[in-house]
Amino acid sequence: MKYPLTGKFLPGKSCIHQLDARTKLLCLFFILATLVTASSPLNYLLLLGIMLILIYLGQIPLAAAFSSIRRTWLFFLTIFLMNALFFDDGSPIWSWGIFHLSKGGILQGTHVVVTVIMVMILGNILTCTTAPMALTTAIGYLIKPLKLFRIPTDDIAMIIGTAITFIPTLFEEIETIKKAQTARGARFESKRLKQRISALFPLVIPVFLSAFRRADELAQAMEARGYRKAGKRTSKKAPSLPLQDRAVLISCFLMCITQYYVFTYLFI
Amino acid sequence: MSITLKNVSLTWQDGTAQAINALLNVSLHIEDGEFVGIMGQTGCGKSSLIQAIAGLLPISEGQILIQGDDIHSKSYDKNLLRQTIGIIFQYPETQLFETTVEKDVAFGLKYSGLSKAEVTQRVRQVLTFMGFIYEDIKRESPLALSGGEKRRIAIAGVLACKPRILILDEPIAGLDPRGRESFLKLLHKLNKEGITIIMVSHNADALSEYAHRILVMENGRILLDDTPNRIFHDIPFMEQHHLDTSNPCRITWLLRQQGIHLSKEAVRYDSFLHSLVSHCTAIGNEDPIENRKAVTADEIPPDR
Amino acid sequence: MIKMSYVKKSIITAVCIALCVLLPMAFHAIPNAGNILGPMHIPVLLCGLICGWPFGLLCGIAGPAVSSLMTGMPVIAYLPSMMIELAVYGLVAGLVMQLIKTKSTYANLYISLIAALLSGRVVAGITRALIFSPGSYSMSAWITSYFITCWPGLLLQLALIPSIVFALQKAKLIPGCYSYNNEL
Repeated sequence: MKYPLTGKFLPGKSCIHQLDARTKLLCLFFILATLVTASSPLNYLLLLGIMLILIYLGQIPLAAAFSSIRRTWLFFLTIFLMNALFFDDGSPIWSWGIFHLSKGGILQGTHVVVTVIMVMILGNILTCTTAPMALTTAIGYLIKPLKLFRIPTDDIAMIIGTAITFIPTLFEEIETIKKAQTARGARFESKRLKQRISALFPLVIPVFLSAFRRADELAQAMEARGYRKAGKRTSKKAPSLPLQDRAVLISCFLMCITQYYVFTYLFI
Repeated sequence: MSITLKNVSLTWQDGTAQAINALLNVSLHIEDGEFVGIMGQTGCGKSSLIQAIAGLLPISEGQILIQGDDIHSKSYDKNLLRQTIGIIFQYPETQLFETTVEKDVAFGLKYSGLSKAEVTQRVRQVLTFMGFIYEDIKRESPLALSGGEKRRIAIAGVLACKPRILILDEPIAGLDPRGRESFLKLLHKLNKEGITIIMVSHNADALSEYAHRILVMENGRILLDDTPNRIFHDIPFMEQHHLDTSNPCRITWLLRQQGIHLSKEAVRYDSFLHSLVSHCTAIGNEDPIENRKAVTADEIPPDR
Repeated sequence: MIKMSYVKKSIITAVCIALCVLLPMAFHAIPNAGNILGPMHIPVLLCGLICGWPFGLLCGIAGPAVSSLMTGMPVIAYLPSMMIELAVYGLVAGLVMQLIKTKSTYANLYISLIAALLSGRVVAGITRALIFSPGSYSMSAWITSYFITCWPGLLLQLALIPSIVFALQKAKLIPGCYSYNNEL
């Protein structure tokens, strides 16, 4: 079975798709910062509006933008209840044993849930409009300042990029091994837990053997081509941001800063 | 153990926009003891077909019957299916995982219902059959063996269940000529013992040597179902569908184009050689065509 | 004693990250295996044990992130706590493996694994407590409950991971004795 493992990326030609991945990542951080520091409902509404505009501009289907939010209902419920029932703000509305329902708790719970939902939407917007490899390269570029702490960011970017390219190959391998072992009698779908667990050994061990074998071959090939530790390698020069990306970046930054100050100092 | 497919269709991601038809309305009957070769381009559905027969893939439509029983019916014992059909994928040595050869080969017999002594006996039998000395090899780690040995152990593991049907997906890919030959001889031996063999391969020479029947697939359908003789000699057809044909057939074709009409019966090397020698001898004797007779092996002059 | 080169360790890390994405998918088809065994833990622990703490740490951070990106599991909401938990696994497994030098590889592996799994679970428990109810007194309840539910998975990982390491050694894909390049 050929499963297209491109994550949530939906290829397209919208203006958001065409932006450089670095721009999108940085804008994501700016909006995230504004989101985390927001507290008034009006602020949240404004941010929601911005996100809806982005969804429209990116031609992202609503189902994709809001995906996995429904699945996390348990998380939201737990966090809300934990905050609502255990938050100690001194004036509970209703008490029963260790549970203290308070207004402060409810507000706090709502605040957290809404923030997390919006973070998820933002994340979805990014992943729907940016290819995984482009994202990895962008991250590799943006973490370059860590080099000051002697962290080899080029190698990290290479490792993650290689990992992504390995995914389709290893996927096929795992499928084949699973089928071969099933044909030999491994009971992956047995009703008895013990049988299912013992079926994991003939699956996991060959998978790792196969994966490490490929790693070995690739490492040898890379070393044969002169690949060594970072430091002395000529790196591919990242293309400079085109004009529209710079414009988007600056306007996004300004908008977020303005939003922060307006809501912090004008509305209490 | 006969195999029957009735109007089998297999669709990936059925119902979505990306639905792909791996198999389209395939109907097929394979008798007990046949040696069937399956050829076709990449993506034509050969792997899907054999995996569906082995019960490893769910089918969207149709029925697959082994000895008359529908393998997807609720009452069919899946365990029986695993014991009846053995499947050897490409690079079977990747499925090895146990700490000793004995344990790895015995893995398939875990749910077979055999006693411990019977299992040991089977393992001994099958390892000897594959050319190993049981006492020497049984405690070795399968992972530390050479590539060729690993492959033979993996095959032993599949044969340990004494399957009545053996399915192989390009088993000779990556083998040197000697390895290929010994493997094919092994298959032939198993076939003579009554095991039905279904082999997917691109290697027309190998299939022409041993297969009773060839299926040519394209786009999820069976295009042609005939003897190697008739299929491999139809060079224009094979070329049109980008398929390999056996060398004797190709040479016969090329010679025919030059006006030398060799018999179209020869699809294997030995029969081809006979027909070639008989033709040359007849030319040498200036016999008219009607008088040309087949030459036996003893009459072939030795090489200088 | 063969030393593994920096490049080889890097690619092994890449492969382990890829498996962090793929093993949960493979386990998803097997009922309950995902909940009990923690499929993403296995490649991270292996990476830490075999390649050392820097690579283990990277695998623990990048594994869940890439998995979330490619398959949407874990969901972004759970991502930070998973990243922290797995980062601790990779880090501690590598560190302890480097520091412990008993004569038996088995002992080395078990000690490092137990240390990694315990510390990882403690940190995960703390993280979850902090996320779900910052500042409340039920933190200890959270940590202990998380601990108790994880016992079967822990035992399973203790059984599975050394088998994988030994298989890899037998296949000569990793050196027989661990020796770490302390260069980074």
